[in-house]
Amino acid sequence: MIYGAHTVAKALATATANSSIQGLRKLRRMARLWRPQVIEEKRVENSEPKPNTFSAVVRDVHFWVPTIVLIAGLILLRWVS
Amino acid sequence: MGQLTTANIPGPRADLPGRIRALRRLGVVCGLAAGAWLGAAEVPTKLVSAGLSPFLISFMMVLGVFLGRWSLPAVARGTSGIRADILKAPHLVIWAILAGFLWCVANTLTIFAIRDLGLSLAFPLWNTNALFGIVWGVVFFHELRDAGWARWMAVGGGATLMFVGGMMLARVSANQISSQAATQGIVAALGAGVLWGTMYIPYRKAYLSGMNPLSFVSFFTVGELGMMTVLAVRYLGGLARFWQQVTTAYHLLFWLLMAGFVWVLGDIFQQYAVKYIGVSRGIPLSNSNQLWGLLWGAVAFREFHGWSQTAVMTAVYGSILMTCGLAAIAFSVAGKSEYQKWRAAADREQKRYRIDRQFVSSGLEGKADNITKKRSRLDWMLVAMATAIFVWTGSLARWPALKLNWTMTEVLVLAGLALFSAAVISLWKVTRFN
Repeated sequence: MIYGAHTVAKALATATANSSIQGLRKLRRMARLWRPQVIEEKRVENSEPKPNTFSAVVRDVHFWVPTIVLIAGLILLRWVS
Repeated sequence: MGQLTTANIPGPRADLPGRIRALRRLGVVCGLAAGAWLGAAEVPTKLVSAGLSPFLISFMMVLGVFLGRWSLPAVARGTSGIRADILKAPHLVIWAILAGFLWCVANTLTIFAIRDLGLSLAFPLWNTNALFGIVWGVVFFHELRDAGWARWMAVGGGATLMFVGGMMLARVSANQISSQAATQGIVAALGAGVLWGTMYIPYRKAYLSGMNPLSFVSFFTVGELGMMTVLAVRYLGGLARFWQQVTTAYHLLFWLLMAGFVWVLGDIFQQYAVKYIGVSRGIPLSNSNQLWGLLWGAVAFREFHGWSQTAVMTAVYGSILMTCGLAAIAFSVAGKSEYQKWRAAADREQKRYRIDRQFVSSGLEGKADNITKKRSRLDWMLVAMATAIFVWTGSLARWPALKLNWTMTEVLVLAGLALFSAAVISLWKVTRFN
C-alpha cells in the first residue's frame, strides 16, 4: 500500500511537471491498481467461508445433549428387553 | 440479545398482534388434535398382549410412519418444496435424523411400558416428556426468560401437579401389577419421557430456523426407520429370524402400519403446535393424548376390569391431576418479551448456521417462501406406493383377538375426526400448511 502511494505520487509529480500524456496514463494505471479498500473487503469475505454442515452441527453444544440421551436410551432399552 | 434480534429477524413480530393471535389459536387447535390422534395411534400397540414382540410392533409402526411421512407431505407440499426447504438449511437433515433416532428408541420403550403397565397407566408416565421439553426450552432457547411471575407460577404449578399425578399412577400400578413388571414398566415409560422430551431440541431448532414441518418430518422418518431396522434385527436375533417374525404376523401388519399412519397425523399436528406456540405450550397440549389413552384403555378396552374401586379412582384422579398440570402450562399466554426471546433464539440459529434471513423470517410467520403448485411424477409415485402397500396388507388382514366396546370406540373415533377437520381447516386458512 505504501509502495502504491509512493508510485502514484511519483507519477503525479512527473505528469504535473512535464504535462505529458505518458505521465497521465501512468497515473491512471497506478490509480486502478491502488485500491486497498476493495482488496481488504475481499479478504474479509474469504476469511468467513460458509461452515461445513456437519462440522457446524458437531460444534453446536446443543447437539451433544440429544446424542448423550440417545446413548442412555439405548442402554435402558437393552436392560428393559 | 433481544435488541439484537429485533433488528435482524423480522418475524413473528410482537407489533403484529392480529397475526400472532391467529397463529396462537392455530397452535392450540393443532395441539388438541395432536393429542387425539397420538392417543389413538397407541391403540394398536395393545397387540403386544396378543404375543407379538415389542420390536416387531415398533418396526411395523415405524414403517407405517415412513410411508405416511413421505406420502402426506408429497400430497400437501410436493417433494420439490421439501427439496427447496432442505437446501436452505441442510444442517437440519442431521438434526432430523437424530430426532428420528430418539423417537424410535422412545417408541420401543413405550411398547414395553404398555406391556407391563397397560395403556392408561403408561401414558401419563411418559408424558413427563413435556417437563423435559420445558427444561430444554428454558436452558437452550430462553423460552421462559422475562416471562413474569404468573407464567412461571403456571408452569411450576403445572409441573408439580404432573409430578404428583404421575406418582399416584405409579403407586397404583405397583399395587395392581407384579413389582418387577411395574418397575420395568415405570422405568421404560419414564425413559421414553426423557427421550421424547429431548427430541424437542431438534424440533425447536428446525422451527426457529423457519423450516416447514412437512419438510422436517420427511427426513426425521429416515432416522426412525434406519434405527428401528437396526434394533429389530439386533434384538430379534438376526435378519432371517426378523423376516420370519414379519411373515408369521402378516395378518396383523395392516393394523400396525395404520397405527404408524395415524401417529403421523398426530405428529404433524404436534409439529405445527410446537412451531406456532412453542415447546412449553405445544407439547403439554398435545400430551392430552394421555386423556385419550385413558379413555381408550378404560372405556374401549376395559383395562380397569377386576380392579378395586379405590385403585380405579386413584388412577382417574392421578390422570386428572396431570391433565390440570398440562392445562396450567398450556394456557399461560406468552408475552411480548417472550416473543422477543424467540426471535433472539432464531437469530442465533440464523447466525450459527448462516441461514438465509428471508427464509427464517417467512418461516416464523407461517408464510410460504417457495410455494409449489404442481405435483411431480415422483409425488404421485410415492402416494401410489404407500396406498398399494396399505391395500395389500389390508387384503391380508384379520381382526386381532382384542375385545373392544364398539359403541365407545365409535364415539372416540368420531371425536378424533372432528378435531382432525378443525385442525386441517385452520391450518389451510391461516398458513396454507406452512
